[in-house]
Amino acid sequence: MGRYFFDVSDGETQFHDTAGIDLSPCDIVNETRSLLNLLAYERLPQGVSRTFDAHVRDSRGEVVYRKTVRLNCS
Amino acid sequence: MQIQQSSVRNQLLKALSLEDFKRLRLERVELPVKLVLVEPHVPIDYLYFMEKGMTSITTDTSAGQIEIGMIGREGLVGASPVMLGVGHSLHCHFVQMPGEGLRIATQDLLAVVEQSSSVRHTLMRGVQALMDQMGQTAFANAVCTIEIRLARWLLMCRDRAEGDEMILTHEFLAKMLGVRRPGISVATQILEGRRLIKAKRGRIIILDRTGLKALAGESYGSGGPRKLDAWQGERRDGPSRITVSPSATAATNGTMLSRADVSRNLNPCLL
Repeated sequence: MGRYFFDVSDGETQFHDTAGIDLSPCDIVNETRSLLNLLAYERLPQGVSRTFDAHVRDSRGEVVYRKTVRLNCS
Repeated sequence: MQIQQSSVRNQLLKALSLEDFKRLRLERVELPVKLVLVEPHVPIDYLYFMEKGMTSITTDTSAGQIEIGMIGREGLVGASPVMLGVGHSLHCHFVQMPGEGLRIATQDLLAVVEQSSSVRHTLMRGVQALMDQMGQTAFANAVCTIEIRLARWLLMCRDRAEGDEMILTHEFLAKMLGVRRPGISVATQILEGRRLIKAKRGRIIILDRTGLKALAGESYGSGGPRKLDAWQGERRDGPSRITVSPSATAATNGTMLSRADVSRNLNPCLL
């Protein structure tokens, strides 16, 4: 277990996580995927392509995982 | 000592006639946090008129615990299953915000309801109020963004807490709202960015209740405790209906996803 911080961007706004959550490193991927799915679901304007990005930091500030999803509107 | 109707705060009890109130054999009890008032699938022996504090109704499944309703001093914990003749619930009812209540044995309540149609009528309106609140929760969960759902939940909690500061962790909020914990961090930042709340570690302070109501809009319309005489025709201010774009829906179905960039560190758990 460790404390991890999820910084995300929805292509317009950057969200900097100051609280963090305690979880197993093995859960980082699932948490990140869920977060990006949530952002994409809620914040994709109709007819717009957008990039959603997540950086996960550990308690020392080092980025331990990064995932980017681009939704292309055609 | 006989409990006086003039001293109670529960809205259902206050709505009763004095004659009806005196029929009820009530006992004042403390309600410490996490006390389970209704256990799933277990016959309900006592019901609790909430006087202070708040009770959460949750689903407890292998997928986790999600709040589906809350009861404060506007309601009677256990009313729906008892008044509708089932006698037990699928859902857990536990004290989320400590306070106190007036409890009554199920058999005593049913005996009074048998005698008095006005008591039954008042309590059934409370049952309907909770059903309406649950419907609004389903609506909010289906179409509202996480920050709107958080705004709504904080308003509902604040209505019952009677204060602007609440002790709430992100982990707890994630359970109550049924979202992953990092999503709560994002929602909290959005509300902080709009200066609607101030989030410290482990607690949230509401700075602008009017702004939260405007954000929550229709999702909050029936969620707060209401006076029984204002049951119909209520309207709250707020923005227009929230809509979900077809493209966003498609995105969640995975039909439009294209992964542009994924990088990982060497932790095998992250592969």
